Formats: sequence, structure tokens, C-alpha cells
Amino acid sequence: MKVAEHPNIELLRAGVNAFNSGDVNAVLATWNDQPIWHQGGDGPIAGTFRGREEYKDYWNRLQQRTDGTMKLDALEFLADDGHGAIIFETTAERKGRTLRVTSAYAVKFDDQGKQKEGWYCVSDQVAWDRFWADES
Amino acid sequence: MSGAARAQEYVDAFGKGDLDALTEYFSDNVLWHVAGKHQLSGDYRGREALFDYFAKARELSGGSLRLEPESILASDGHIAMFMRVTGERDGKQLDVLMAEVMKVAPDGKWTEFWAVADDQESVDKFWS
Repeated sequence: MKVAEHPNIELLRAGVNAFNSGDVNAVLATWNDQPIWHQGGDGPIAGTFRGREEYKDYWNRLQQRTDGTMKLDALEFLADDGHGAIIFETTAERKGRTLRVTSAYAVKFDDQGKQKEGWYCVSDQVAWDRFWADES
Repeated sequence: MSGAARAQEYVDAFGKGDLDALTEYFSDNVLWHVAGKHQLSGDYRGREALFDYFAKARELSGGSLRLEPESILASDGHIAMFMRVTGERDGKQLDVLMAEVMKVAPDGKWTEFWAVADDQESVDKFWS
């Protein structure tokens, strides 16, 4: 099966749509009970977050800091049984700053067809870190 | 050859330590991002800078770095690799899973690379 046609791509699409509609519970519905989330970079939203509560805290920081303006514009989905990836543009606004950065999300699936471990990385880490930094 | 097969071939060549064989995979102005806070972190632009980085990483690790792809996904425009990276340096062990993404030009050459580790802190400690 071509990687662009795998059923896990529907799961990833659902995750992106849930993110863009601001529905954290719908995002978590695409995950197993113990999400592990690796966010690259430096600063207040970087690090590894484990479990639903930590994921929600991370989510809340993203939403609050961007006043809900953060959106994912998916360019491409790839998936097989165990692994997937999304190439996308992340856009957001914050304190008059605008972020637009090519991003990649890589994920491992469990055997129930849910996400279990994800990595979010961006092509321009400097721009990303500057955008999220607390000082202006 | 498919993007995934090409990436596997690249990993095999890397494993043999044959850096010369790797040059053909990259575009002249390839941009390579190394995450983290250690002596190799930063952006490397151009094939020459990239291979200087490869050589330095190899020197620092005494040639102990090993790449084992867990999975390689590819389309015409991108390759995503899940790479187990192990190594040893000054008695320190590295064992991380990296999520790596490459952009592929229409001619098949790789133009940009970025990655996140499952444990960035241990990567930083390894290279520090």
C-alpha cells in the first residue's frame, strides 16, 4: 500500500482538524492513554510532555500565548502501520509577532491505530524560539 | 529508485563510514539543522559545511555512531525517518530515537534536513 493511502492518514487528518478547531479533547481522541510529546527548541513550550494532563498543559500554553491563532496547514501526510509524518506550515500570531514556519510532525502509532509518541520539529528553530520567547 | 530505498542506501553507506559516497545525495546548497545546545548545534549550509560537520561528529565519537532506521516514509517531496542513533564517547553512551525529515528537490537531491530526538538532554550531554 502506498504510504499516501494508509488508513492511519485519516487519523492524522482528524488530529489536524481537531487542532485547528481548538478542540483538545478531539485531539486527544486520536491518542492512546499515555501520549508522549517531544517539542523541539528552547524556551517555555519546549521539552517532552508525558500523559494527557501534561499534554493539556502544553496545549493551553500554545492557545493562551497565541490567543487561539495557531493553525496547522497540512501539505503532505505519510503513514504506514507503525509510523507517520505530516509536513505542514505552522502559522500563529502573538504580541504583534507573526510566525510562519515549515514544520514536520513525526509520530509512532500503537497497534490500536492511535498515536502514542509524537515529535514536532520546525525548519527554522531560531524563528520559532524567538516567537515563543517571553521577552519582546 | 524510490525515496525510501535511496534513504536506506544512504544509511548503509554512512554505516560503512564511506563519506565520499554520500556526497551525491545532497544538493550543493543543502541546509542541515542540528538541534540542541551542544558544540555541534546550529545550521550547516552547503555540502562542504555539512561534510565538515559529519567529519567532526565522527571524530568526536571515535567513529562509534550507528544509525538504524526503524522506519522510512517517503513521498516525492519529503522523506521522514525514524532513526535509532547510538554511539559512545568518553565513557558516555548515546541511545536515542530521532524523528528526521528531509526535503527532496525535483532532481531527487536532498535540500534540507531537520530532526527532533526523543531525549534531547541526553544528546546534549553526549556532545558536551
